[in-house]
Amino acid sequence: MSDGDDAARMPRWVKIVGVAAILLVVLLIAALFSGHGPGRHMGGHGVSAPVAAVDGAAGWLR
Amino acid sequence: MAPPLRKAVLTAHVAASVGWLGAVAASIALALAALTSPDLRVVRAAYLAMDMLGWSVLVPISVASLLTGLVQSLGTVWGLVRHYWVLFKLFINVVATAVLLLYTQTLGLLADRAADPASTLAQLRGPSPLVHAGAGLLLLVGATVLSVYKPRGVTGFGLRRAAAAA
Repeated sequence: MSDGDDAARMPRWVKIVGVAAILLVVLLIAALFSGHGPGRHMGGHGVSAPVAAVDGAAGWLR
Repeated sequence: MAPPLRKAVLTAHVAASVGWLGAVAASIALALAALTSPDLRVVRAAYLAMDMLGWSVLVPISVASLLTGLVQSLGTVWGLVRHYWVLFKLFINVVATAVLLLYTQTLGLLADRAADPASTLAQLRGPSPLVHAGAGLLLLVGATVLSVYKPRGVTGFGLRRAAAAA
């Protein structure tokens, strides 16, 4: 096999990291669309942030 | 790029990127304190410090890392989309910066709540800052590994450019 064929072949590490990158993007998009945006994951054992504060932070969505 | 300028941009890129890694490590220490300390004053201080660290250090150096990386790649033979390792570093930098910019809003809300004298320890505690900072650290360590090892692999665009130049 020629050097040119070797160069044209995508290395295995690229495939592995590429799949991980795609999964990361899918995870991030799913998280955003499921409401996991700014101010939506503030912990506190289920205690909500003040409505005005959340509305203000979510202004970037509008 | 002329060699002296190339070295200067490379120095700025390494400084910003390594500084980003260090600032994320500091964020993890603060997030751990906020999650585990029994002292309400320490928890409040940790959230306020994380908010300050985000806007005053993390955001500026993440943008600096991205911009210097773009200049460095476009101004040298490495190119931006010729080698897979450069492409993945760009991906990591863009994703980490975007998530950081979104998360600073959450840090602001957490700091507001921490500054409220009526808030309790149970209301303040949460694993979110630790999870986000931990994920950021993993991404940045990955970018550092790519920078040092520069694993082989040329993109289709890189191959065509090399063939055209030959």
